[in-house]
Amino acid sequence: MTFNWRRYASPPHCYRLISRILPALWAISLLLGVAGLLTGLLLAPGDVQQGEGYRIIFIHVPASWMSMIIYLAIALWAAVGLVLNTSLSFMLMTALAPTGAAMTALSLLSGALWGKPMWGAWWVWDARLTSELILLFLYLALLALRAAIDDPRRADRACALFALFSVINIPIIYFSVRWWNTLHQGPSITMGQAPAMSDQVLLGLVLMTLAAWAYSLAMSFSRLRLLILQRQADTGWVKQLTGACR
Amino acid sequence: MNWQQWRTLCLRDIRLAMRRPGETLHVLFFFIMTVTLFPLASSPSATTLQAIGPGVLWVCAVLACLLLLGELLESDWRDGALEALLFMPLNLPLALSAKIVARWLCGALPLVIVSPLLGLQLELPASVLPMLAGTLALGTLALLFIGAPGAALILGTRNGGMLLGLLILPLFLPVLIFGALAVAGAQAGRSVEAELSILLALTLLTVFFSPLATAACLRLACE
Amino acid sequence: MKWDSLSAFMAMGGYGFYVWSAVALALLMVLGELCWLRHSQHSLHHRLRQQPNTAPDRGWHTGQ
Repeated sequence: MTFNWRRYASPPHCYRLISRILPALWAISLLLGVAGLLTGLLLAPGDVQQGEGYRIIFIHVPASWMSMIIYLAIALWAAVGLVLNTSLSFMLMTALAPTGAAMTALSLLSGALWGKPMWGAWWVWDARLTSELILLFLYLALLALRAAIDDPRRADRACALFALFSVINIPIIYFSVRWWNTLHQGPSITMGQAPAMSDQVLLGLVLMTLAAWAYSLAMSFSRLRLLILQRQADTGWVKQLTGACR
Repeated sequence: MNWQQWRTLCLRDIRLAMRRPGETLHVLFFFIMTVTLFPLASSPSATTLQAIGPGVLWVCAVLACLLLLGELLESDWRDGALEALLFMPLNLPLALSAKIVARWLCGALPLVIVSPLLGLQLELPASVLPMLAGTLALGTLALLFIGAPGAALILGTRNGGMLLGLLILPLFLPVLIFGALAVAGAQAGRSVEAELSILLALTLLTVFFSPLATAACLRLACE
Repeated sequence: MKWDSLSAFMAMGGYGFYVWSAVALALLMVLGELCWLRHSQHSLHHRLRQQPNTAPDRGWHTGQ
């Protein structure tokens, strides 16, 4: 027997699949989040330089990573949608955007809360902070573009084109902002070099990152479920479904 | 699509703009007025003006380009000329590049020409003024090309003008940074070869790729 | 366990305000998104039941 994954590009099948996995996904994200916060706030030792203030890392770093990954995922689904012309890809793109914007806002706000005690300022014009702010602007532009177009088909395609066009620009923007201001902290986890953090801190960070992944998936799938219902409101299977829950 | 057709399209837009000089002058005066606001809002001292001068001129040029882009396709879209263009046996990206170049010649070049005067007003040394005009000339061309897909996306949307700024201002950032850095570097007596090369590279890249994106966005708007 | 007492845990070595604000913001974001989702779910189901054939599609669930 072969597993036909293309089946799930059809909205009713996708609806049934995500309805089945959503409860588990929400439970996993809750468990990971609680475990991550307990490890990070209760078990992990204080930092030599930053004292207990460094614990904002468990919120800030996962949120920053998710904000970037979600924009890439949006661009990926935009490309898939434009090439294969599948409505579900556009719906996924649409479902991801609000969570991405929320993650970006959380990353900026928690970064400000970290910056105040460590650098003495809520905001510094550092390359990474500025790029994150630009990313928030791009998310807001995507949301505004979606809200401004009434025809859902055109809104899908317009947002997909904008997502692709802007994702190509993001590296250029980052490069120019870095050129403009090379003043910034080294990355928290440098590749190929042993991270300068204890095992418990690393465990907390891994748990919180996984929690952010699970949460983003659960939230966007929940939103996707509603989008499918909304877009397919006139089809037989949705009428049957809503008739059943009456 | 050959050179003759491209020139005809470009000249058509230039002629249309000449017939309605109000629009060109409107953007020009907007540029002059916004630049004038800065000394009034901060301070008229030479040191302040010299420090903020390059940035102010560049930001005002960016805002003026936003105005130009709002009108780039709008009137042609309203009277159906764009849809006619879509059905002509032409290469659509090339045809659009003719429109953008025409818009640059009629709308942005006047800004570039008056920018040295405004530079003098902001107490910039005379030796910097050629650099200012040169980077603005290159930069506004790049800005118009970068913004063109956005201008096509907002056709027929609610609050299109407001949306346009939200969509394309973040994408203007690299050109703004390197343009303003080149002027400020020349002012400080630094070598600005690197900034100029990057500005030129950005311009060439956008001139090449943006008409393709604009054509895709336009096809969507005219479906 | 790293902490001696609850008050030391809350104080976070003097960084209590910053650390707990960050945690609170994260929770607020999660709760906000959940509330929005619930709200749009209710309005969508309401609409699907009321007028199953004329569901205007506005993309985001703005609750309209």
